[in-house]
Amino acid sequence: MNDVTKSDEELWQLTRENHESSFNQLMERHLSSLLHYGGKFSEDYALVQDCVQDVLADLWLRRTREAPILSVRAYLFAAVRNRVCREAKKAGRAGILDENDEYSSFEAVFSVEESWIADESEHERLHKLNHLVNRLPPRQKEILYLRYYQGLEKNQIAEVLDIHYQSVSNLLHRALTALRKQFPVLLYVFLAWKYL
Amino acid sequence: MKGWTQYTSADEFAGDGTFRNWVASGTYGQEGHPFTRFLAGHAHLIPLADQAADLLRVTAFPDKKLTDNELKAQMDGTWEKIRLRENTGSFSGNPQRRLWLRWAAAAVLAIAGGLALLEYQKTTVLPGISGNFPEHSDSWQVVTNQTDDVRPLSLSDGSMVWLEPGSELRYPVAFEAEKREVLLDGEAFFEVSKNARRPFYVKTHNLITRVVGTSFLVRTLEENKSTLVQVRTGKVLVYRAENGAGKEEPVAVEANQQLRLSGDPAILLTEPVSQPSVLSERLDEHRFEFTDVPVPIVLNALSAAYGLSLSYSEADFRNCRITTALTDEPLTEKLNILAETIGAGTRAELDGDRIRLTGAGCP
Repeated sequence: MNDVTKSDEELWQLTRENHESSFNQLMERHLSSLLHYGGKFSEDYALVQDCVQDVLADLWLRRTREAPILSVRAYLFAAVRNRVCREAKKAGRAGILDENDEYSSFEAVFSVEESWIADESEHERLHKLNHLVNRLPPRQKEILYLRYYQGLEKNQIAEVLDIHYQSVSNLLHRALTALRKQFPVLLYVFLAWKYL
Repeated sequence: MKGWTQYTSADEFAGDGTFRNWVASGTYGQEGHPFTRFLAGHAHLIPLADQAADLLRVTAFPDKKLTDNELKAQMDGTWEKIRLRENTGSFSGNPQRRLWLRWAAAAVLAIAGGLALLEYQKTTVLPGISGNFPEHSDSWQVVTNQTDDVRPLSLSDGSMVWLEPGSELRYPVAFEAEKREVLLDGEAFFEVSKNARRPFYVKTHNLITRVVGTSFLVRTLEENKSTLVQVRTGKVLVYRAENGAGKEEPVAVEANQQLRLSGDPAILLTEPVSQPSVLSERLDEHRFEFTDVPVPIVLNALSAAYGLSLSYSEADFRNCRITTALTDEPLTEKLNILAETIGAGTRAELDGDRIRLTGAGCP
């Protein structure tokens, strides 16, 4: 049921009116990505699962009291991020701190999705690019993760990371500039990056 | 892809659902693909699209998505946490409330809902419980099925009632915020829309059956003075009407059990189900779990299970393939899920005794 026509926000409104089925649909939509995102802050899957379920349970129990939510997805991502970081720290399993950004413990190793490559000749180029992406600082990687892997809008990313919209644009731009500098071979392709 | 020509950055492509799906299909840039041809006709878009596709393909993960079972386990785990906190939290001071919350937890855990069969003497008209219902009021609707066929009624909360010939149902035009009450004289099959905060009551002359979200049947047997509540799966609570809800401990009727009220003085007796109802059996026969099947197959299954005719364009919809699992939702909710799954613009609704599907279909 991926192509349901009701938006998250419509489902959330119905959830506030006590429709369990709408809340179930919201869970169905977001559980996979929330567990995936949470897993980038702790390797303890049981802890991540627990945090994600707690966040969802809280949302249901507070549904009538919750202040208006602009984006359900951003709200859930932010709540999971905060809870996993807090619980992982409590359990003494906090991730590695980024030297530039002390509260980000985002750890992820991106891989190349082979099945998405139609043209064999592109493999090498994409593997090189992947290697560069993985060497970016955690904060920039997290932004790329949220934008490209999870498909969040920039304003949603700002909400998740609790930073300004412009900061998201800047970080995204910085990441892409770094990639372009280190990968001049791709310059002809990346001409368009100035638009970012 | 209509909006693509307006894009001025790779970022816009990266956030575009259609574009993302294209990249994920592994056919990005493939010769002859309509989208590739489209981009070729708008050359200024190619570098933007290329870059977005590059980044999408190098920021992936080998982990698989959750399977349906894993997803379900996570959802069940969440509901368990919710029920636990509801029970130990703000409702802990009220034993009666706690009881039905415990019941609700059980119902949620039991994937499918319940099916109860309630029988009572048809000749009795409502005096026993009329105290709770305004006899003549604009806010109550009275429907009597004078036809020879089962008459489907959909209520404002999404619940369905399948009213048997000669039976009468009274229900409020709008349900109260706290509860949903209907009054039945005769026989009907109920599919109740799940709502833990608004229990659904079916009142008859001598019994009150309370459900939160489940399906069950209420039937009259002419010469039988006894009353029977039959549960297929899940659980319902039954009270004697004379005592009213809350004045007496309700009797919980579990899956595959039935409750009989009989004798004088009447006693409540639980025992294994003897004869399940026709609709209960038909629903048992059909599993509404579909993996990549054409829509007509889903419609035929619904038509067969509920005994309804179909009204739709087979040609328009036979190319729509869907994957879905419909369980014990009321038919109206099943139809909503079906329409939503097919996609924008599709409407699936109940029109009298036929299921009507409208929309553009799939090419």
